Amino acid sequence: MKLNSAIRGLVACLLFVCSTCEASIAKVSPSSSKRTLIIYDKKITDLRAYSDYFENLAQLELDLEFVSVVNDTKDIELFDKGVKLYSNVVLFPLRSRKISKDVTAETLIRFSAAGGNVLAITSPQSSTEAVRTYLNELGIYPSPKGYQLSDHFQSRQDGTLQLDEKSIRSNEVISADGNALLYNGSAALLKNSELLFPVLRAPKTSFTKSSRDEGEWTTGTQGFLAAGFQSLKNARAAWVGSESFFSNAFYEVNAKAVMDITKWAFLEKGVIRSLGASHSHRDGSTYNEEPYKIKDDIIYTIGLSEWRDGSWKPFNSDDVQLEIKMIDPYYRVTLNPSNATEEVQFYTSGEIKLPDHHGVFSFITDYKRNGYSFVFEKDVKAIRHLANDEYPRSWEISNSWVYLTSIFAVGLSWMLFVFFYLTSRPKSLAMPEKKMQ
Amino acid sequence: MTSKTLKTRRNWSSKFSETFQASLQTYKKQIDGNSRLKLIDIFCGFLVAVGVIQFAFVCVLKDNFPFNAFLAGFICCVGQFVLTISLRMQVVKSFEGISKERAFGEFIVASLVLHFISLHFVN
Repeated sequence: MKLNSAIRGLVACLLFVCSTCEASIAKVSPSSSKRTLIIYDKKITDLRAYSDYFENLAQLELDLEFVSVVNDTKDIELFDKGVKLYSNVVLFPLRSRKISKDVTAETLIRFSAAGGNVLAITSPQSSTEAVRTYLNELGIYPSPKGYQLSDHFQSRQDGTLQLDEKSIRSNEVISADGNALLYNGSAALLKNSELLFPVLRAPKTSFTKSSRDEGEWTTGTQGFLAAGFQSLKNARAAWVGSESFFSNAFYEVNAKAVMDITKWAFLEKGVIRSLGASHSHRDGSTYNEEPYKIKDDIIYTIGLSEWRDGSWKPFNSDDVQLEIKMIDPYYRVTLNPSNATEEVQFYTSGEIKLPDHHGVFSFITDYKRNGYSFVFEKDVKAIRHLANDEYPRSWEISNSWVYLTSIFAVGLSWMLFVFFYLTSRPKSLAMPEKKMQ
Repeated sequence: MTSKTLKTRRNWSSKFSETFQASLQTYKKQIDGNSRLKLIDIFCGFLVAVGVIQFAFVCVLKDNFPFNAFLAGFICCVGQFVLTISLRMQVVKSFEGISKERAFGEFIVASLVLHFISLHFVN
């Protein structure tokens, strides 16, 4: 009963905390600003062919700016005196050698490192070195200029492929709805990286080949058509190997996938955040009131919410874990969903016993999943050993009753011995002494 | 089996029983009518029994927790046994310059110290 009321108290406390900040955070989008720069090449891209896509982008309330790399007097700049100007950049396929005088691969990497999101689109016609170098840095190796993905089992005349559900490798980015996607473009090889993950994979019977017969860049499922990259600071980059994937011609079929990838890249999808982790004794008293000692029972709670369709919603998952760690994790406990509010799903460890080891421990929730922003909560707390009067006395341990009894038995029998020894009348011991010799 | 080996075996066993009988006789003669020696030996026997019981308890449980309690209980028996045997040696034949009365006094003081330490060690 006591315990029940303690948990209820804790929950009520948490609810109070979130309800107070609810008003202020409910509608705050995870992306800081909506300024978006779209860099394209007038020579190969006619923006009118993507009007449907840009219309949908406008619905995300993005502040779009278009700039072409050719014949444009305006210099493209991503930074102003070291301050990032845009939160998102879309790179359409470019044929010029450079993006601009100021924007190189290094600038793009710096932009990513500063928290900028990049959606890079390449095509068999694109050849800009800066974009390629940038993508290589992320671990994406798009096929060189002139390489086209084809599949003799299903390619149409113009090289358009149908991608079925098996091609979708990340349900967190593109939620499959059973419809095939249309794709006409190139493929890339992906590096083994924890930050990089495939979104679309090439069909089994496909291959990437140049018209000049220079051998294959990818064959079968080793090729990827779209990939996502998320840095440890949760800045995102997405790559798609086809320009026509976004075009009005395919938009009727691809609209959902296209918007999913864009939303993911621009932090409108798959964003989770923690409402702070907390832990306390099982009776609700905090560490500050009563520091932890070894083998104490504690409760750990963390609240997670997800930005979905324009608002924060509870984030549901069955693999959120708590680590109690001192160099090595002593415990790694999977947390169970407890209560949920309109925005936050709380996870609790239930009552867990602290390790039977004193020292400085970290209470960590390290939730890193492909397609979701990374959550890392760490709290360092010392766990003390027992004071010398906190160990149980021997009579509280039933095993030691045997030893206690024997000590008292020895003492008692010794007293009897002394009593009888003193009352007995010794005879002369002279005779046995003689005998012994 | 040759008669020779049989003979030596019989020889050996008879020798052993002879020796054993002789020791038993000597021992009986030693304690005969001496109630103090009898008392000491009975007490020693009791201490051995208590010690063996505690050790068997640990063996059966396969767990010596709480170890300090076991040590206190077991060492109490062993210590008391050693002290009692020392007393017995002096009862049989006094050490040079130490009277039997003084020996008994020392035995009491040492035993009390032992019990005191045991009780504190068991916590």
